[in-house]
Amino acid sequence: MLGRRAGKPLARRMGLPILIRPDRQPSKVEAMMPLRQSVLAFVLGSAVALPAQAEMWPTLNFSGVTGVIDMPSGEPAPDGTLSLTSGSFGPITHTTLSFQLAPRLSGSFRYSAVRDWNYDGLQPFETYYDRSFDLRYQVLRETRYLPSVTVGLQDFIGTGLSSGEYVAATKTIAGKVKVTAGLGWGRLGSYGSIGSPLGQRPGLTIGVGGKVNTGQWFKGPAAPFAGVEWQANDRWTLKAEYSSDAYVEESGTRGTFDRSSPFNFGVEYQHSQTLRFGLYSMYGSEIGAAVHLTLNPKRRIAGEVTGPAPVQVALRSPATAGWSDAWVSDDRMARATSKALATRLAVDGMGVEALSVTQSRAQLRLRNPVLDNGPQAIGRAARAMSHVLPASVEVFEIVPVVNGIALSKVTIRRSDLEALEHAPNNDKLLQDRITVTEAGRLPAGALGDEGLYPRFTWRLSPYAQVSYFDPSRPFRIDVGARLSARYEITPGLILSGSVIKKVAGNLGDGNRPSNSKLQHVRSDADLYFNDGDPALERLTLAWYARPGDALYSRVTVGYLERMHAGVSAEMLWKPVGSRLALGVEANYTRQRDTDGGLGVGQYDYGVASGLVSAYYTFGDGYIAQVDVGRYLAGDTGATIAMDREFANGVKVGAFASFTNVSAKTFGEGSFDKGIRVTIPLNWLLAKPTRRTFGTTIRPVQRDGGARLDVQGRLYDTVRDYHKGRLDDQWGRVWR
Amino acid sequence: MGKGVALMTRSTKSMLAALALLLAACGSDPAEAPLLGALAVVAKTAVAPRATPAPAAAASVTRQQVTDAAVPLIRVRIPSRSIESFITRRDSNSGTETWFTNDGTTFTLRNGVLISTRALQPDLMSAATPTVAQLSRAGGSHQRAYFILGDNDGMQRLSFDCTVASQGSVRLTVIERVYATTHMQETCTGDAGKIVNDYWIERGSTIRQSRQWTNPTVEYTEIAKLTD
Repeated sequence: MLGRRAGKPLARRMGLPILIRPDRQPSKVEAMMPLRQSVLAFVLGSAVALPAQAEMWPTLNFSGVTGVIDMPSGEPAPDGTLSLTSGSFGPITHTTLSFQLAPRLSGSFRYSAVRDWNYDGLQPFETYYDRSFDLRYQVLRETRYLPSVTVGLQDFIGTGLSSGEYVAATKTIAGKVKVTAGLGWGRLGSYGSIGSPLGQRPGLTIGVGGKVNTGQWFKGPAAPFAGVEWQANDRWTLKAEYSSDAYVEESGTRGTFDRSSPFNFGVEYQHSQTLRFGLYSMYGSEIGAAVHLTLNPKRRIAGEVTGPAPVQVALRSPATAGWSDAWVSDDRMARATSKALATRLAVDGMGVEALSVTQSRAQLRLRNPVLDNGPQAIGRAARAMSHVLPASVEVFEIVPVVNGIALSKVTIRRSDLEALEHAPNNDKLLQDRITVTEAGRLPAGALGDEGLYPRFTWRLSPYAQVSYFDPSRPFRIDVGARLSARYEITPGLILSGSVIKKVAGNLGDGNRPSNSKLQHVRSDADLYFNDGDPALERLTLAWYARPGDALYSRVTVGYLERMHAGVSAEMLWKPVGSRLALGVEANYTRQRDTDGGLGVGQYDYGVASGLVSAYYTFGDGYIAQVDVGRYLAGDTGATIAMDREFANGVKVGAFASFTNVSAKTFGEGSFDKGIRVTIPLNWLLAKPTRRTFGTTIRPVQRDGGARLDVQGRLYDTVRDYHKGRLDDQWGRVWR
Repeated sequence: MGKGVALMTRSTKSMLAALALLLAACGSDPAEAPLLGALAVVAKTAVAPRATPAPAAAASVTRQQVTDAAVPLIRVRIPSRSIESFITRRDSNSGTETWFTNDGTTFTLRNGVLISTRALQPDLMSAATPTVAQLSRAGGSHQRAYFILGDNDGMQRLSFDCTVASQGSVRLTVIERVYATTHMQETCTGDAGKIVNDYWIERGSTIRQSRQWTNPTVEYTEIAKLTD
């Protein structure tokens, strides 16, 4: 009973105000806030005072890359920065998502719209939409005398309308002024050219887009550009630049606006660490405005995940050391211990899958559905064990169990736990003294929590589905309610399903019939959105098992996803300490009817698909994945993906699939590619939860390279409690 | 246009319905139920202008109340957060004492020197600290290290070189009771610039009151020992 000595908080007994926080006045605004605004509000949530600033932050330009106003600069954003920029002047609007993949390398995805896109003024005005990708690499870091230099490729994979390459150099002077000078090609070499230093720029066959236009890079006319920015104070920045972009198509050919000057001027206001606004005079004729949202994935918007402080380690006193260990063979005693432990774990939403106790060693099979941080869960479980286990038990083995399968075994000596709790640098010291190994078999005589299986849980929650880049409406969204239920019959055998009912939205407004020449395994999404309300999303029976050391398996049958039903089987090889994992997956599915019911007759399409996968972690959260095999439309090929995962669970990645479908058959975009972002819910809510939200953005969704969207794939489940991930997250073990 | 406005109103209404739904997420898992409250707090802090700190209610606590409580008690103030709290002891473990607030924040002290916090945002996870004897010796010097849970859940180590100086004898009043103390000042320079910790020490052994640097965000925590 060391843990709760003081009993009830004193405040209630004394009638004292125990904790006085700044009075947060209830706001009427909150209740009336529409959804979109509330999302914005989350972002504004970190709108606290800006920290004292030793150096100038890199700022973003109109196109959402680090730069001046319309021109790029030579410096990168801080490592990991994720930004969303929306900028508009005259008829032109760019919305850009940028990610600083590594300290020197960044990538951007941009969606652009140009209004009044007509030749002759006779046809009705149209808006031209385009998607483009950029890559930037910092070749030189800024030193005392030398500038930071970046080489950039703009729109290097799209239709080429915005294609341009540049070399830009930026130097910070006296911490207040930044000067940028650069040389641009393509679009950025179209005004004030100094000739073609590297040869002629070849013409481009756009076709269906999606080609990497290597032949054009740094060819054709080159033109210099320059800019300067002055940071007047923590909030305000003034900018001026000379642009080398002639806007040949927009201003010249199409006459959408009048480019009467190469000079742009602007003023920007830093509202908070996340939010920045800019107002500009563009090309002598237009007013421009931009909003920049900048997120640092390493720092949760909601602050550190709260949740109460953990209980402390219970020390073994000499009085308990001499206790008899007869209880070890006493079944009733063992049950009572298991129950007491379950009660303590329940404080953090955790549970006992099984407990085995011998005279000197205890193994807890730990269930943790709530805490998103593995080490934190393990640290809390170990402290709970110190309170209930007899003094003779010196070794604690904690085996995290997810979906009924044991993922690893963390072995902690109880005396280390006792000695290090209040020691300086306690996380590192503990880390050096524990071992993480293969989970191994459940010890004989282990007792499960009788109340755990079968276990039924359900949840009614909101959902949002988003469709991007439909030319008639580039952003469409449905929100509604999702009722999901999960029935764990025995450890590893799970029946689960979900139903959605739309409440509001405009996804169904899309009525562009798919023109795909492949089986419409994905491109009939509009039909599925239109017809299926309410819809059965999933209804599956899944079986997880451990067929051997380092081996994990999954078999899932039923309505696997909204568009396909059937059977999916997966096997994964992943030793606890290995950077490499190998997997194989085989599926046979039939395409579901669009109405969201149980039928699979509408399309009469069945396909055997499957992939062999290799996963590799490079450290620092970089994960590479290669899949080779057969996709849903029957095409064969490979997918390469690269993700960066932060310790707090934010994950940003990109992927591309190349299959034996020709670019022409594939249609717009030539091949499947996209960007995916996953954000833990606790990143917004300072509340322990393992739930996440995220989105995958594809320039266009076609049918080639499409993969079955079955839930509960093994790699992400397993990795959470393996060596690399535990190391990344270890800082919270004493939290 | 009329139709447009009507449509807009309808869609705003549905958006509101959706928001209500978002807030009303519920399920069989009790661990997730408090989501509602958390969301509301986040939304509120985001939208509401920064509220002015409420005045501390310290003056209203009397010695009588402290005596009546009949449990060990300390007063913790964090000026940067306008927090003032009277808190009780939860654990005492190998020479340390852990004090907790009823919202789950803890402060762990070793002989009155702060060594860790939990649920304070950000947390001081551990610290290498001087002893009371070191802090009582004017002219002494020592090193200090703070381990703070920082960005990306990494441990940020802040190291300092410190010296101790006496600020003289002080008759210190803590809730109607007067103590004879020596005011010692520990000045440290290092990874987070310069920090200054103050201690009012009785008889060279008991820290009666202190003002201790805690982390770069919260900065200083003031602690007063109310019971003997």
